[in-house]
Amino acid sequence: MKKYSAFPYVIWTFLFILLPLLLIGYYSLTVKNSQTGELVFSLANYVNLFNPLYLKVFLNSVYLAGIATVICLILGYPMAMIISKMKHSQTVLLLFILPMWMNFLLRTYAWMAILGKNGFINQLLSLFHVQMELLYNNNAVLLGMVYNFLPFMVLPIYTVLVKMDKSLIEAAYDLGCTPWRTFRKVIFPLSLPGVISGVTMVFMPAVSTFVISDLLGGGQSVLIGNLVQEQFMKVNNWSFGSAISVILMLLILMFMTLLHRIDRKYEGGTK
Amino acid sequence: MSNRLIEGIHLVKEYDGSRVVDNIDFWVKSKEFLTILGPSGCGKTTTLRMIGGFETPTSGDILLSGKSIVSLPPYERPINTVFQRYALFPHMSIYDNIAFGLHIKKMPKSEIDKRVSKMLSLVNLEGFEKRRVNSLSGGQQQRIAIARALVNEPQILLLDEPLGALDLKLRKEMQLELKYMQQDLGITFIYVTHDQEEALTMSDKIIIMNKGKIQQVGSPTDIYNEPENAFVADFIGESNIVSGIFKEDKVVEFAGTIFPCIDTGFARDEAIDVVVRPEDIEITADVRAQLHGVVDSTVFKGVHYEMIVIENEREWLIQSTIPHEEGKQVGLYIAPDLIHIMKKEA
Repeated sequence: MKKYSAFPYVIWTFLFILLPLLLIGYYSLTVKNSQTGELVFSLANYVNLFNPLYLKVFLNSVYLAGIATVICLILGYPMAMIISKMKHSQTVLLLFILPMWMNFLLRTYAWMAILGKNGFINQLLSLFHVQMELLYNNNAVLLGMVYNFLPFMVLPIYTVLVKMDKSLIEAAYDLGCTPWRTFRKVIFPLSLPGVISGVTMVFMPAVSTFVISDLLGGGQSVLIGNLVQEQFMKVNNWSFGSAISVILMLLILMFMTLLHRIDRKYEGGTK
Repeated sequence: MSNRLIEGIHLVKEYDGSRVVDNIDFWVKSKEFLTILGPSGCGKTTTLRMIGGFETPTSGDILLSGKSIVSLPPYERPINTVFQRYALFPHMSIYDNIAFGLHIKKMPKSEIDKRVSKMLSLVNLEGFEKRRVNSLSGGQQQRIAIARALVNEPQILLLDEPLGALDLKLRKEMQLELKYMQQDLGITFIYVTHDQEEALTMSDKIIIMNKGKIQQVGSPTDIYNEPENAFVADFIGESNIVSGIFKEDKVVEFAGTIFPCIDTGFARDEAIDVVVRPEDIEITADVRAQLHGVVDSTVFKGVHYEMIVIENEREWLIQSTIPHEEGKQVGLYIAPDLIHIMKKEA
């Protein structure tokens, strides 16, 4: 019985995960013959990617996503820690997640309204006769990433911290650790599984986003996601778009393998 | 005063207005094995945590060698704790767990190595340095937790029901080992448990607590033989507790009968409680019998039989190596020195 109950899932996996992946792989290895419209095998798409223009986009994406992840970690860890120690931590956490119930696009548009030329901040600044270009640059994209993905960092870290055996922390105090050393030697190492899932959950959507860079970067800050979107929706070159996607997937895969290695080093974690 | 290593003075701990520890005073001599015994929720663990520094008393003071330590955080107290659920660090090897406190003190590596291996041999786990915590059994983890605390050579070791999660046989072994370690190392132990047998086996001194208050302080034999009130008598082993009247010195009346006893010092005709241990009632057929009843049940318990004899609607719990069949008419005899008289609880 048990074997059969997995059947719908197998079909689902095949239809919506495996098949599209194969299709992307297939497209990425072909080019359209301009006369006949036939798809012909070729590595041209991958060779194309080595164009410095595209490499720069890749680097920019990884760089921005990396910085956003680090900022999320620096902001999110203390936040998770403070919330986990609160009396009504569940409620506070809910309040924290509440903005996420609103549409992602809407929230990003809201930032446009805040940062724009006639936006909230510039209106305030105009009182002092100052004007600042806040929108359509890397910093605006970074802000959008941090704002949108911060909860993904806080949640897993919060979960690990809340579940952590408090007697381990007391044991560290008992054995002579000051609060700071207790954090360094016990709390942080034990919370690493949460940090790693947080980092994964922020980095992955950040490195592949196109909405944030589209709205807040406004063509000034092009990311891999924009490249893919462009190839599929505007240029109508599915083959090249697929090749970029494949490389993006490999990039994320590499990143996750790396994280997994770190995680393994600290196996154990919470109970 | 000078031989008091640690002392609690008028200690009070309140949580949201309810008193968990209610104005207790106690002291422990150096190298003594003290057990705080009581049912769950009696305040014994809270008391221990106040000594360890994990809870701040609402009022009162704790003195270590005459100096107040109440304001010191746990990491500045020369006291170490063995936690209920061991609390070993799962991300460290056994070696790193035991060496943890010494690393913090920045002891040289060679000295740490020496002390860790000495500790491991003390707890009979030589060669376990590189093992992971999760690969150890409960009993082994317990030993590591003890080693991790003792390696710091604390003045006082606090133990919070450390044997609670072990099975009976292992627990008995560990009781003896702990007692041996304590005597061998000459460290003061403060041990918290709800297991009266454990307390009687290991302690030099027992504090019995109930509802945040100390009920009695004394040696195991004092507490077993001379319980000060019905709670202690009931908590330490099984006993028969009946109310009675103190007629005059060495004479007491209970169960409608006059008994000779050896207690003195109560007022004439004072209402009192009488405690008789189940093993102290003799079933007899001869003229010495003071009470008469019918055997209601007989259960074999291994070393002895446990019988309930009904006498005038009163139940008497009796332990004897000689069984009597159910329904049999029997006489009961209690020797004068086995009758304990206690002040009646208000």
